[in-house]
Amino acid sequence: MISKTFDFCGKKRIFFAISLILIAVSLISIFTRGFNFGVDFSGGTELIFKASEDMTVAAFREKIGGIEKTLEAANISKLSQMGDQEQNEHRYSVTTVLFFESDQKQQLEAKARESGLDIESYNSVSGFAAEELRSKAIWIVILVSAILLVYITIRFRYEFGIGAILALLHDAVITLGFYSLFQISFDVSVIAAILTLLGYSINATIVIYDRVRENLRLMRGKNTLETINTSIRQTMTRTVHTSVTTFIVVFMLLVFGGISLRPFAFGLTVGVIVGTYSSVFIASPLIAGMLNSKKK
Amino acid sequence: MKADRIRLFFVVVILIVALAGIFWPNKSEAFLDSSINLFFQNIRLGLDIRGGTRLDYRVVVPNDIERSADEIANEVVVVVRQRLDAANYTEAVVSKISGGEDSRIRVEIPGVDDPTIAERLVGKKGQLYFGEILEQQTGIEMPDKRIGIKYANAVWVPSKDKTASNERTWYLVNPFVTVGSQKLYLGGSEIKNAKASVDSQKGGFKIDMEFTSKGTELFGKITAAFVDQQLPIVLDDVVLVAPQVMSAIRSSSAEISGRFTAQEAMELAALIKSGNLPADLQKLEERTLGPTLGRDIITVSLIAGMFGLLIVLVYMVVFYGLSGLIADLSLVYNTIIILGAMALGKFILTLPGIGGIILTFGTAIDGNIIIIERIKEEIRSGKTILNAITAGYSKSFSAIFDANITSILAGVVLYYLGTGTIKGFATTLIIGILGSMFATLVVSRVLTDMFSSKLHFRMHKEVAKAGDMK
Repeated sequence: MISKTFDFCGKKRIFFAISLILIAVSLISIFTRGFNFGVDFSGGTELIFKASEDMTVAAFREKIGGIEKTLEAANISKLSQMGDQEQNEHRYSVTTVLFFESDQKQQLEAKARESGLDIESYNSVSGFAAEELRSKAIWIVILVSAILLVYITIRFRYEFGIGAILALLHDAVITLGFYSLFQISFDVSVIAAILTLLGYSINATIVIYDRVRENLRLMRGKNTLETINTSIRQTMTRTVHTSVTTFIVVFMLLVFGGISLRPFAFGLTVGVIVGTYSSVFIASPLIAGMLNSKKK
Repeated sequence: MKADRIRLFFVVVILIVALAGIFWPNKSEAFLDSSINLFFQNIRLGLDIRGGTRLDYRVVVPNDIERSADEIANEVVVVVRQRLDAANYTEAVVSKISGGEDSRIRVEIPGVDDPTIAERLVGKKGQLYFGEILEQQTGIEMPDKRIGIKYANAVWVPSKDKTASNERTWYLVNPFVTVGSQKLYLGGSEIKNAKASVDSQKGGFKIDMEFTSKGTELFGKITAAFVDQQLPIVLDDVVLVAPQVMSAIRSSSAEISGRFTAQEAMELAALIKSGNLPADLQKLEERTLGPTLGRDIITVSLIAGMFGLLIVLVYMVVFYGLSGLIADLSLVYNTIIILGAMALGKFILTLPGIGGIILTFGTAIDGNIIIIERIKEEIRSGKTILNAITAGYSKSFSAIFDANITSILAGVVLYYLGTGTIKGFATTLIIGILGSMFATLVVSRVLTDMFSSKLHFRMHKEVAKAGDMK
């Protein structure tokens, strides 16, 4: 636990260094390894087949290749049993870059049924739709950041807005870096996860900033660095309890939430840790620097 | 306190409204059974939970049409709607998606295992006309184009049926029928009604059509000129049937008897009746989820959510005692408000939407923690319990307000710019945060004031303990 005299602002060089390393690793991974884009972003088709017999991925690949030659090279995985699923039901997920037109899909469905495979889920996105979603996602993030900057400037001070936005970018880049490092499937729910994490992080940052705003009034004339340190300390118990409870919820979702919630829950779990860290060790020391240099 | 009485009044009224929204029996909108729906019948579930198909199309507007793309998209929605109705997909939702440069339409069909027929109906252009045969031959491939003034507008159109050796009859058809010096066009727009019925003479099913008055007149003229000749009926570049005209027909009805199956006849009637689509549709996206997989997903995520929630509830009581219990109650209250608002506002609950709800659990708990910690600080500075509560609430208001408003702002951007699933997430996020603000600032306040005499004891003990550790 952090002691009552811990100097958050004085030790900021250490934390900034840690963050810069994490950001560098994230950026390198994003630009070299890239993301494991799901069909939402890359275009293509994702199918979940249900079979009554249990087989290995290799056996299933052979079987699906016999039905549709182009699917033999697809990305195939076997889904684990979940919920109250019947014992003799086995599910296989197949992801391919192909986009099936209506009649092609009907043929595939009919042939699969003859071989004892049912299509349970079918997601198909054309390259056109995927491209649009990608550009839209970037716009959403830019617009949200701009609106937050304006709001914080109005309610607090300009420096607080800059500090909060930098902390947000920090969180977004590092979380995206984790998606890239662990090659977690990047689908449309990841956008929701990133935005949730930004909401969480701004929430955590603002609670501390609110204390700083109040203490700057109460402790006028005192050292700004000391005021900010005091504010972080005063809110520390809250920071710990809130992040632990939120972490519990999202971690449970990650562990027990099943395959469809996994990409979403992964981002939140990483995000809660990174967001809490940045609100204490990055966002607050950042404004300390800015407020101090202004005074001089 | 008077303020508390007003607060309590709102707390109770909102609770009753929310509960009524959730549990009030609603027979007209009973949904398919699924584990969550057993308890919450009034909440609309997205297709990603209850199973179903979603199809997104781009409306490809032809260049030579003067009307705006928007107008055409509206017309497409009406036509598609009519087709799905005629084929008994009455639960399907057809909507125009705005935003972006071109227009889109979305077709959502809940709970159907096999959307093939619906998909076939949506994509077809549905262009029907009575033509004039200029030439005909049999073969597998389409014959070569004919050149000459006589063949202007004429196209090769295959017959619907093919022989065992894959051969079809190819008709060189002119959509503009020559009657004397006139060129007449009799198309689908002159047909008022079309329906499938049993063909008692030839067997199988036939399609009965009814003309408009203009159609009746045209049909009379054409049949009078074509006695003893074939008059092909062409739908989407296929000759459905090419019957021999026996005599001039002056009645307002006609039939297409091509020994169809019941399914075929119903689909064709739906296409003819709804008229032709004013534009081509290009499929952009299709999402289908079987109902059983959907049920398994919801079960798993519900269990995960409940489990996490339970741990948090216990955690709060362990660390904060009675105040923690109050926080738990306000969390439960918030959940009820969210579900009630979802039911009353007829919002659709999607899988990311459930994620949004789980997230607002965090916001509600956070608000309570901020307040409890603040009250403790005030007690530490020597205030009495009642003064500490008042000061604690008023001093933490700005933190809770600013933190939540920023989340709501982000949610609003998401709602307006996001598509499908993201919109579902934004909906529950906005409702959940508004609910959690009410739960934290009002519900917890009422309970805290109510139990202030008991809180007094616990708070002091905890603070004293914290003091000892220093």
